[in-house]
Amino acid sequence: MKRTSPPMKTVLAPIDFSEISRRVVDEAIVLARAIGARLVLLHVVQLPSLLGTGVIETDLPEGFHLQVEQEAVARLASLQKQLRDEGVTAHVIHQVGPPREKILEQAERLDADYLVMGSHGHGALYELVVGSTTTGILKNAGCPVTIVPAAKKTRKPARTPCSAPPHALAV
Amino acid sequence: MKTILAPIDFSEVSRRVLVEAVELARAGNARLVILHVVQPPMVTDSDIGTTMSAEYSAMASAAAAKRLKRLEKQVRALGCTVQTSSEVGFPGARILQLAEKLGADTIVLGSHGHGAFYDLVVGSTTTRILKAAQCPVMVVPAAMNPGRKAKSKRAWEPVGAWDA
Repeated sequence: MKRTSPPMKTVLAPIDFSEISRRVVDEAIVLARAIGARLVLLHVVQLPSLLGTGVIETDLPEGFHLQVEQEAVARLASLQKQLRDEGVTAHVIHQVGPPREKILEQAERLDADYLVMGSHGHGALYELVVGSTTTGILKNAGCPVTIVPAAKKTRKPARTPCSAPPHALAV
Repeated sequence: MKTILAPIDFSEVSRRVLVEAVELARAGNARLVILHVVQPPMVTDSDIGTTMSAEYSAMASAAAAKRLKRLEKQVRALGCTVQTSSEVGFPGARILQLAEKLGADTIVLGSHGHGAFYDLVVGSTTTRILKAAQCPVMVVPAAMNPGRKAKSKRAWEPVGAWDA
């Protein structure tokens, strides 16, 4: 195959519809626009672990997995529409399985040039430093990974001798 | 104008960091600030040790400043707004301080480097930045996947500045 122009770049943003996801999407949009890349939003549906819950697979209501998956598809479609209304074209894909593996798999399949994701989310266990899925991605990704912080932390006020936190002043 | 902060330590991954940071700055028409932090060697509590450490830091900092200037010239020639800074201190703290001072919009750094101890997962300085940074942090891996490499073939690469 002969290529006349450089192939289009891809920004892949895994999102889990947590609080941080909108910030991740916004950051991915800015990056994709700047470099003229296509934007792909990936949602990985992680099925709940039944381990230790006393619930067994067959106890789940019929079509449970399918329902969870359909819900994910609907949320992605709604986000895609919302973005379209904002003038942003985004491709959406969903996968079912463990987030880390699925994200890396899709990054490779799409030949992603950048990953943009949240510092947390994408997993049940909240780590102190960086989420476990994010750490796993950082370790294995073959492209730059932009990590979006959870929230704009309020800047520490300048330390003055008589400064006290507001709540300390309330009597 | 947006600001991109790229801390480098002249390791191999720093080369990738620069390439990515320059590409990002050019694409987003942003100002690029390249930072190198010299970490003073640990010394025991003796006057001689302290003096030697200070001398070493001053020398290393001056040498780094020279290399940074060479880089600055190359990057400016690409039409990029660029500044460089050489500082002495603990890399993690210095990087965060400068990011805050500049109001950096993005920090681009390597997954490793920037510290004496090699973490298995992500370097200790990088981990620290990820934990505390107020802005998005782009982490550049040491090894790129082959498909991506092929696509960015025509990207700029630093020349010469890696030789001390």
